[in-house]
Amino acid sequence: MNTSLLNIWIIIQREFLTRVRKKTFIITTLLAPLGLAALIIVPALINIYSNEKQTIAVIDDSNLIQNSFADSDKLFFKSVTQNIDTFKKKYKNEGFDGILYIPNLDPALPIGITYYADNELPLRLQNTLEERLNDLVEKIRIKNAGLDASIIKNFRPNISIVSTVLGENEKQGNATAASILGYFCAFALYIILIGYGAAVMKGVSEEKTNRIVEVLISTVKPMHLMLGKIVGIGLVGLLQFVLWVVLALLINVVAALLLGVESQVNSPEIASLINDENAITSMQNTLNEISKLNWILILPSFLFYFLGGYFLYAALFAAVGSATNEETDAQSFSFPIMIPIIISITLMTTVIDQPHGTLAVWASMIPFTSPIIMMSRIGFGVPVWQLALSMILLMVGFIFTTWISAKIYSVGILLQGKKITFMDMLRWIKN
Amino acid sequence: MNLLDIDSIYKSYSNYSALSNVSFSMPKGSIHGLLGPNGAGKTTLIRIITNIIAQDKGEVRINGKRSHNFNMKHLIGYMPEERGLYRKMKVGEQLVYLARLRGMNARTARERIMYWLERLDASTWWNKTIDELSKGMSQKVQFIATIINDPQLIILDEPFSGLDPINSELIKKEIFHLKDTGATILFSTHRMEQIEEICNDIILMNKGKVLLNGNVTSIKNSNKKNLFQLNYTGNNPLGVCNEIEIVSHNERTVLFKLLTTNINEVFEWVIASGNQISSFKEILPTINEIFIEQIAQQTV
Repeated sequence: MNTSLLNIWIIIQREFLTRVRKKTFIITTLLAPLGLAALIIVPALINIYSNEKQTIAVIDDSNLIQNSFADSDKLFFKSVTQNIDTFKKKYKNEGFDGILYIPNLDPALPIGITYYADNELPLRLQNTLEERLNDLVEKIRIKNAGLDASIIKNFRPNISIVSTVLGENEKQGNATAASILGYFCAFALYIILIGYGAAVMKGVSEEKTNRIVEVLISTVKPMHLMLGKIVGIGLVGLLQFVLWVVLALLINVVAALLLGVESQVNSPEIASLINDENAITSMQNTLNEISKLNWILILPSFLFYFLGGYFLYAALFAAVGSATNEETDAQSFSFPIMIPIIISITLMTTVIDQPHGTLAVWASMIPFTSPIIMMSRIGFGVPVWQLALSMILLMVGFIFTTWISAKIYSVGILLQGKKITFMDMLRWIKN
Repeated sequence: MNLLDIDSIYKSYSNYSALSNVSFSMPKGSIHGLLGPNGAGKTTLIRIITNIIAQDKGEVRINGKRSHNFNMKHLIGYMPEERGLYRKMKVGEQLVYLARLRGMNARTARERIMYWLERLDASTWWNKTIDELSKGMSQKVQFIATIINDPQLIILDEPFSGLDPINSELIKKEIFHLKDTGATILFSTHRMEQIEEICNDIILMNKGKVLLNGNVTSIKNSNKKNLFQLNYTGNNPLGVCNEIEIVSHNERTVLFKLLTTNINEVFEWVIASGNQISSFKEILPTINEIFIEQIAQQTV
């Protein structure tokens, strides 16, 4: 192997291995998906296995609803025939958690229903109660009108619009699936660009402050040192991302086995949470649609924008790291680099709303915003020429940033103790 | 044959001239001392030799070949004044890494590192991080990193700073050992007594220029002030001698400057007074004195 390439390879190995073997890497790689999973699974588990049962007294002065409320796992109803004002004072002693009071009302105008308890009515309980009351009143109204409830139920349609993208072979799209993909990719890239960019900056500035850089560049070229570091840390990022995806899939499978997705989806809690039985089918549809997205295009594109965006920004972060002496400096210098990343993430919502608008197209061409923007619109179907042009521009972009960064870096790393300004950096680029 | 030739090097930063017409040569196997006050241009010169920065004008040749050829970097071992090692990396791994960057394969590197760690009483350090070592200990690691691939030219910037006398002596012994095995050594320091002990030659720099360059003994001779010291026995007064100017006269020791070339007249003067000469020697200036004098002259 050529000496320069061999040196870059040796540097990549060190940057990669020292980071991958660190406890922090192992911990964050394992704990991040577990933490995320815990956020989702723990409340579900608590909900399913908690013993918190609620017994609600129903005082029904209207006499319409009495005994129509069925108990569920954790929610029990008991009808009480007492005066509401006297019962308010003793409901707790009789073992109730609250009182649902239904005044003598007209089903045509069901107002005045009140829930009495020592605490605020929890949102989920409110939703459940409202939904049950709505159903009951609906049934009573249908009955009063002399109609058959089962016929009325059949009138309810379940409409879902199928979006079809016109082209050589018409393909069915799904805006929800594409949006979910867009949000996911955009946020993942945002975290990667900022997180690993900062790691490059820290690595460079550490080598500068502990002075090993002088020993290193008496042996290797500054450009090789910078490239080795960027590639090495990039590989750490890639590995971490792949591990996260694998772990997330594993956790998903384990969680499904553990909780039993079927029973969960059919449980009254989830059903009432979603508030609409149709929502379950729609959620399943979306998952189905996500799996039907053009992954053969999306996965390699994500990898490309991941690496392209990372290289583009990592080079700039390396330049900043080389020009700084203290932490505070690093922060003020790195802010201008982070502006386009922050702009990308703020544009994302608009782009997902109008994935083929002028803003979306332009922002997915400019190398500084294209990684996040292109990946947030790719699920909606992007013309091949746009994707190709955007990729070429991104490559030109990262060659350019690497070139100017190498100039700043090779001067910056040797300057100790001097305060460096943006004007200095511009001068180094010109020379 | 010269291992290193520095030929009319110029280097300036915006409007400040860091090096101006710097030239000197180092024969193979020699030890040169590079002296100069802060800001003299020593570090800039070293960085040009090690190819860290480029000169504006002039040439650096190693073994007669222009050294801008990148692969020649492996011929040089450089220990900067500001030591630098990865604080959290283990000594062994760190040295293997640096050795591999300098063209060694991992296996040979490991063997050589073990050899040197044992030689410097540091055989148990392989799995220690730099953070666990004292300053003097990490200095030894840095020294090993510098010489691990047996470079032909070794550049040491203040190699003894931070070392206790025992370790200083150890490193000094190794410097001589490296010289004996054929290495050429350039070392930069402020500590003049070390220069006199270790170096055959010195290069004295100030404000980017070479003030003095040559053999330590001949520089001392060419800067001598005709100072002599004479001791005598006897109690007779000495009287007056026109050949000398007495600098001091205490307890039968006369320090004087010889005004003519006729030293015999001085001996006769002492003997004629009825005293006996017990010892006589010429006082040569120390490198330190020459250094201070030269810098002062240039400042005037």
